[in-house]
Amino acid sequence: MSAFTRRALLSATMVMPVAALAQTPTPTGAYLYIIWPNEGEKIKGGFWCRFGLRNMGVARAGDRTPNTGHHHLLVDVDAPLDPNEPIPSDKNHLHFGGGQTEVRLELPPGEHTLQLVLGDADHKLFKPPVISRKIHITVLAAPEQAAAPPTGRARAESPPTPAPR
Amino acid sequence: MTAGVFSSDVASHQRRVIAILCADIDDDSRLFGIEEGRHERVERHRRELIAPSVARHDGRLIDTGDEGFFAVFEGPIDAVRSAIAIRQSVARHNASLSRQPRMRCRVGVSLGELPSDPDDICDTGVKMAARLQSLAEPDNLLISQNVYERVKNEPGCRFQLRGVEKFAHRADPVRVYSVNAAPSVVVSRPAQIAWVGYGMAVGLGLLLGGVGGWYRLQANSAAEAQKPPNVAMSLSEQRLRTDASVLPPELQVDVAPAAATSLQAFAPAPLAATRPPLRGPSREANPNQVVRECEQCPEMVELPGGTFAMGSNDDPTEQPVFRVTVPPFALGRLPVTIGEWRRCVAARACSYNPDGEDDMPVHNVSWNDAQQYVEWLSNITGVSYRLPTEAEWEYAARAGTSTRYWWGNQLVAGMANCKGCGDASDPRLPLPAGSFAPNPFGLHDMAGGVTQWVADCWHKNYRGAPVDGAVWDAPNCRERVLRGGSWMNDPSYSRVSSRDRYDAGVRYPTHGFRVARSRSN
Repeated sequence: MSAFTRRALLSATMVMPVAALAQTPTPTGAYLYIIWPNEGEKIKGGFWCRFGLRNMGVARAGDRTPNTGHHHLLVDVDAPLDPNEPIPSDKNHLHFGGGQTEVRLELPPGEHTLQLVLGDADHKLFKPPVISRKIHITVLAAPEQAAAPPTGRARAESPPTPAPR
Repeated sequence: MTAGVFSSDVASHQRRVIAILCADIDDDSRLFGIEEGRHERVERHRRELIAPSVARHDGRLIDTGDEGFFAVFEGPIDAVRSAIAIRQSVARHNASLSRQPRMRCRVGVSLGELPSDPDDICDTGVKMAARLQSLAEPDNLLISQNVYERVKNEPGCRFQLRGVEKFAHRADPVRVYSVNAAPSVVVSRPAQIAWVGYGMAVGLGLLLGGVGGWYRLQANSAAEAQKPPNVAMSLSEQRLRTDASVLPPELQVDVAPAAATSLQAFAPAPLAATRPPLRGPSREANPNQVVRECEQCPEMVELPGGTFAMGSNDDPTEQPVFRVTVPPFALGRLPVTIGEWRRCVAARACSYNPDGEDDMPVHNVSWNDAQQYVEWLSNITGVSYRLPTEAEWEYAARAGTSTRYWWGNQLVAGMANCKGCGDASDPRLPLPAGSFAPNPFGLHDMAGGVTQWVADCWHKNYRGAPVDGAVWDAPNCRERVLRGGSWMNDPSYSRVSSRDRYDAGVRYPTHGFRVARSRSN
């Protein structure tokens, strides 16, 4: 048994890549937020969700330019993210590795939560994590007719971060 | 169950027929600087992996020689089940470690005669078991022709003729078969199996399966009528196959994984006196043939064309369900491995340079990266390789089945590499390619492991999708389709119909692919 424990420990330490341990540091003042919808918004049908980031830049995934990252939108996610793993990619963890700053969402009617998380070049959390406030919205049953939300810029307290460098 | 088989073998005199199992386990602990003598290691393997599996099937360990562990059993079914249990123990052990060192087991089972002195079994049966063990590929189980004759109706087992071997002590050549078992065949410790979500239903099925095992054995030949096409044979396996081509095709037997559908097995089925011939498009299309265009090329399984119902009602992206006819094509037996990918890197044709073991599926590749690989592969072979279309991928993943997973509607532990699929896996890395049983088309890792890129552009559902298996592209396509789910996704993503998408130009750690090509002749 001890041999097995020893082997398990040994292999665990051997295969852990260095990158898995190192997290990218967060620059001071970094602030991630959802421009639209607002907290408590009631929305009919599909809508555009717009992402805001201050004091950091948006880059493509894989781009290691300092102080840049890319957006991930968590839809109805409650589980905490593991800082040592890449942000999951599935129907609830939407990736924007191309540097996108908005997405059109079509969610089933009902209550939902939205939260933005910034990922580094390897889709991992920054340290400390750059995460937006989690907002709660209600999608109302409606025909396939897009509610025309105000544009992000019009509502933003400050202009959203420019396009990827 | 074994008594009936065995009783006919008992000679009236002092010699009687027994089944002999020879197993060998090796690992690469030396590479990891683990200082452990051979004796210690052998003892540990015997204690932790071999002995429990042998004892559970009423076998007796008799010797631990240089050629491996030997055990004798009263009947061949026990011996084969014990062999499967050993293989499962090793697989469980490997899965319980985060990655390495990985153990490999080889097992051979033959029949022999037990002389009056039970500890003196240095007869031809032992030699044959040892030889079969040495011929087996890692993690494989080979059985001799006479064992096969006695166990071929075991539900849940799939037998494949591997070739005809000449044994020094025997005048006539002996057919050699490999055994693949659905994981539920030897449910050694049911409590350990992680039934996700469907615990009650599957548990009931197993209970019924246990009670009705005898009935299933009787009904098995009828169940075979619905069996899927043969399992493919890898090139490395074909070294055993030199004389197999002379055998008539009906000897290339193959038994449906009945255990995966044990509830269905209880539907009243007529008893068939003789084995029905193989049916379906598979025969004339000669599927299962595995070819490799060059030494560094992925192994390709030639698949027959066919019509199937694509999609499901489990998710809006998989709707509507529609009929698709796919022409014959070939698909990689495994996802492209890091070893295969490195050839492309060495040729300066692939820009992504991965870390990791050669036998691991390449991952963290974008769709654009995958295009570099298929282009390189096409250039060096002169054969047009490509990514499979989404329809081809699902057709191959289903392999003639219409259930959520190729083995049934419910998750079965140990069939796939995913989060919650019943095996501990390293969250950072996928398991080596081919770690799990192949589907009825002989394709490994179509569920879990690396999520696989296909050629198609992402469309949010199937409205307007082509019905001829062709690629569904779009101008200026940004997102491409991914299939099969990954080792970091939950089991619902491992369903045959599950769809996902990602930016074609962005790498993500769980994304890999397998290659396809249209039928060359």
